[in-house]
Amino acid sequence: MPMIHSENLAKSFPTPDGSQKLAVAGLSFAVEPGQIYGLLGPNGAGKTTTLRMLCGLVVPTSGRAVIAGYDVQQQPLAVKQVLGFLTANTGLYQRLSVRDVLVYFGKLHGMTTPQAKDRAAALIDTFDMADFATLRCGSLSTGQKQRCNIARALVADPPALILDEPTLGLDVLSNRVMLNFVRDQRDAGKSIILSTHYLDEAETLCDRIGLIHQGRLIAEGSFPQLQEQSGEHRLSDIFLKLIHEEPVHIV
Amino acid sequence: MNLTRIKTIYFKELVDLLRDRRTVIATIIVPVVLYPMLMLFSVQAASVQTGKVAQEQIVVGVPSREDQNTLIRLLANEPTPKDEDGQPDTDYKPLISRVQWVITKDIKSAVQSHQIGCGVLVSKVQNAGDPLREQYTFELLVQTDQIRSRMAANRVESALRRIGQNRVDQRLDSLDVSRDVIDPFFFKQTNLTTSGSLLGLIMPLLLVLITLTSAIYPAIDLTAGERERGTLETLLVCPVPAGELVAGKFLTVVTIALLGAMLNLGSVAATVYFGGLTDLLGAAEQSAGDLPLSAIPIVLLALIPFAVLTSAILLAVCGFARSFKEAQNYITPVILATLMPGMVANLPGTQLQGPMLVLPVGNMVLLVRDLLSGTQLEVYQIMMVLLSTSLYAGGAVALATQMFGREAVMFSDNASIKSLLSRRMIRASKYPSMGLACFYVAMLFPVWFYVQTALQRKFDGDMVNVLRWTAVLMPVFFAILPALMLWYFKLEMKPTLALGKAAPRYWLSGLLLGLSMWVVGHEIFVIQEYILPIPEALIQQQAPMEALMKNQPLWWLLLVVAVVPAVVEEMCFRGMLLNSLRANSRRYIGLLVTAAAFAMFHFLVYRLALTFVLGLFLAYLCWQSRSIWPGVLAHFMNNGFAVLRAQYPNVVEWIGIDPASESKHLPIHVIVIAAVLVVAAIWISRKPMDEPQSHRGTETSQ
Repeated sequence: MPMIHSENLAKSFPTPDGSQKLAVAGLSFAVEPGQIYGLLGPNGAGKTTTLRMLCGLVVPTSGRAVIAGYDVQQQPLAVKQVLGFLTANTGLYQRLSVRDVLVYFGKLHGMTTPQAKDRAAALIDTFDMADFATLRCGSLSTGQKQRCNIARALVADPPALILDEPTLGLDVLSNRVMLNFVRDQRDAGKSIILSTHYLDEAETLCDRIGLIHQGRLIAEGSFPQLQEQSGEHRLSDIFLKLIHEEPVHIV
Repeated sequence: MNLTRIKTIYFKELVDLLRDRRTVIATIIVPVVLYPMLMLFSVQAASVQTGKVAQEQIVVGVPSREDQNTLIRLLANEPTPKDEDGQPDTDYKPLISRVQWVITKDIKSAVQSHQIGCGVLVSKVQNAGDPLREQYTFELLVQTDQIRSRMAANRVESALRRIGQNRVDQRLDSLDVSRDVIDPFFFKQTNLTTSGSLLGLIMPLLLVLITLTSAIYPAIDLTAGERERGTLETLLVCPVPAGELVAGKFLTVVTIALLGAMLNLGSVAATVYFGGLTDLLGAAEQSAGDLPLSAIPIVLLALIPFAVLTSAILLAVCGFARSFKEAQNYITPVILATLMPGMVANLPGTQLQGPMLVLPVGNMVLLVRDLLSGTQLEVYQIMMVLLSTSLYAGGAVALATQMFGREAVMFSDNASIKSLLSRRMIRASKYPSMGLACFYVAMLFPVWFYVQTALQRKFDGDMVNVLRWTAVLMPVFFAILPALMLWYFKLEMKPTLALGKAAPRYWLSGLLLGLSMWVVGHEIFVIQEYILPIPEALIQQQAPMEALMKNQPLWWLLLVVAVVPAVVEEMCFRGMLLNSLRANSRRYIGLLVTAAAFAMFHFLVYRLALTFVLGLFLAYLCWQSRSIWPGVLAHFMNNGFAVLRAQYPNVVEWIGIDPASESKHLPIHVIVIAAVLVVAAIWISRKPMDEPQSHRGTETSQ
C-alpha cells in the first residue's frame, strides 16, 4: 500500500469576476515508502496547491488524499502527525533559539517536555548545530536557518515528507546539504514528495516523476522511462515536448 | 481541547512577545515611566500656567471712554476681599492697579481674537449719581475656554460684586436696617470630591483605551505577523486543532492586555497617591486617605472580561490580515467602534441601568467608574456586565477560531469577507462549526435583551401585550433566523436542529423530567434565597405577571409561556448550539456551555442557577436522544406547571404546597418523588442514540 495516495484531487478557486479557476484538475498519483516522487511543472501548474491539499491546509473541491492510511479530510490531525512539511519560504521564530524551536514543535507533536528536549538534542547533533543551538533564529545565517528548518520538519520523525521548492534561493553549499538530506531520508525508507523548478535536481534525485501542466498530470514514470517514451534526454526537453502533446501515461 | 498543548502555545507566545523590544516598550516602559511623568508634568504645567496668568495684567475692553470712566470710578472704591476668618486679605492688589484698558467698538471680535481678556458693557444705568439708588447692569463678554479670558471676567465680576455688596451695606446703614433683613439664607459648600470619584471620571475610558492598545501589538504579531514571517504555515501543519492554536494565542494577548491595564492602573494610582495630584485636580483637601485602594483589585477583576473581549475582537480582525500593515488598517475602525459606546457611557449622568447593562464596552466603563467612585451597585448589575461581556468575548473568540487558518485568509490574494461568506464558496456540511453557532448565540444576546427592554417600554406594564409580542418575536430570533443561517451556510437542517424522531425511551425520560424539573427548580430557588435574596423591588415588578397568570385564559397562557418557548429555545440551544459542540467537544463541555448560554438568556441573576440546572437536564436529554422533541415535552411541562400552579391553587394545595409562598421548601414527599423521577429519567436515557449515517462530506463546516 502506498504511503501517500492521491485520488482525483481537484481544486478550483474563485476569481474576482465570479467565475472559478481550476488550479488542480483531478490529480492521481501514489508514493511508496523509500521513494522520492518529483512533482514538476512550471509556475502556476498547481504544484503548491496540490501539496497544500496533501497537508490539509487547503480543502480540495473534489477527490481525496490518503497518507499512511489516514484520509486527509476526515482525519486531518492524524495526517499531520505523520507528515513533515518544508518549503523554502518557511520562517522560523526569530526570537526563539534553535533548541527552543525544536522543543516547541516536538511538544506540539504530542511529546512530553523531556521527550521533546531529547529529540531536539538528537537533531542538533545529527545536523551539526551545537555551535548555534542556543542562538536566536533571527541571528542565524541562511544555511544555519535551513538546517534548523530541516530539523524542525523531522521533529516527529514522520514517515512522509512534503518538500515544496526546498532549494529555492540557496547557494551551492546549502543546496548540497538539502539534497543530501533528501537522499538520506529516502534511504531511511521515507516517502518524499519533492516539488522543484530545478529539473536537473529532479533527474538525479527522483525515483518517479510526475509532470504537471495546468493542473493536469501530463506524464508520469521514472526518468529513464520518460526518456524512452519521449525520445529526449533532458527532463526540460521532455517537458517542453510533452506540453504540446496528448498526455502520456507510463506505468 | 488539549490543555497541555494550549499551555505550550501560550508560554511560547508569551516568551516570544516579551523578548520583543516593542512589547516591552509599549506594555511596560510607557505606563511605568512615561505615563506618570506626563501626568505630573501636564498637571504641574497647568498649575504653573494658572499662577502665571494670575500675575499678568488684566486686559479689559470697553466700547467707550464714558464706560471706562464709569468703571474706573466704581473700581476706585473696591473693598479688600476677606478670607475665611473674616480678615482682610493683605496680599490682595486692587483690580484698578492691574487693569489695562482697551477702548474698542468691536469688543466681541477683540475677545475672540484674544486681544483683550474680557469685555465689559455698561448696558443700563438707572438713577446715576444718586448714591442710594444708583443701579448698573453690566454685560461681561468672555470666552470661557480661554484661561486668560475666564480669569479676567472672574476678577472683574468679583470686584464689581464686592463693590455692590459694599454699597448695599452703606445703603442699609443709612436706612438703619440690619443686613440680616435681606440675607435670610447663608450657604457654605463643603467639597466632598474624593480622589476616587476623580479617578472614576478619568480612569474608565483610559483603562479601556490602555487595555485595547496593549492588546493591539500582540494580536497583530501573533496573527498577521506570524503569517508575514512565514511561520503560520508551519504551525498549521502541526497536529494541533485551530481552536487550540487560537486559545493559546488568545490567552497570550489577554495576558499582555491585562498586564498593560494593571501597570497603568497601578501607575496612575501611585501618581495620584504619591504625587499629591488630587488638590490640583480639584478634590477635597486630603488626598492619600480617600483613594479607594480597595476598589483597585475589583476594577482589575472587572477588567478581565473586557481584556478578554478586546483581545478576542482584535484576534478575529487581525486574523483577516495578511501583513502587519494591513492589520493596522483594520484596527483603526475597531478602536473607534470600541471607544464610541465607551464615550457614550462616560457622558455625565449616565447610569448602569437598563440597556446600558449590556452595551458592550459602555457597561464596562460605567462599572469601573462606579467601583472607583464608591457608588453602591447591586449584584445583578455587576453580574449582568460581567456575563454579557463574557458572552461577547465568547462570540469573538468563536469568530477568531472560525477565521484562523482559513485557506481564503491564508492563501487567497483577495482574502476578504466577501469570499469567506460567499454562499457559492461554502462547502455543504452536516453540523455548523462551534464558532458559527457560538457567534450567533453571542450576537443574539444583546439583540434579544434590547427586544425585551423595548417591549417592556412600549407596553409599559401591559404584560399581555409584552407576552404576546415575545411569543411572536421568539420564533423569529430563536428558530427562523438560525434556520436561515443554516440554509445559507449549507448545513443540514434536520440533524443540526435535532428535528429527527426520538426513540420511545427518551420520550419517557422527557416525560419524567417534565414531571419533576419544576420541583428541582423550586428547591434551587428556595436554597438560593438564603444566599442571594431577591430584592423587594423585583418582587413588586413580578406582580403584574403573577396577576396575569391567574386571569388570562389557560390555552393562551400555555401557548405563549409553554409551547412557543419550549419549541424555539430547544431548537436554538439544544438544537443548533449543542450540535455544533457535539462534533467538536466532549459531552460535558457541550452540556455546560449550552446550559450556561441558556441561563444567560433569562437575563436575571436570580434565575441563573435554576435555568442553568434545567438547561443541563434538557441538554443531556437532547445529547443522548439526538432529538429535541423529548426536551420540548419536558420544557413544555415545566413551564406549563407554572401556569397551572397559578390557575389552580386548590390542586396545588391538595398536594401539600403552599400556593401563596414561593420561598418555602416543598413537602418532603414531593421532593423525594421528584428526585426518584429525575434519577429514573437519566438512567433510562443513559445509552446514547447512534448517529445516523451522514451522506454528506465532512462533519462540520469549515
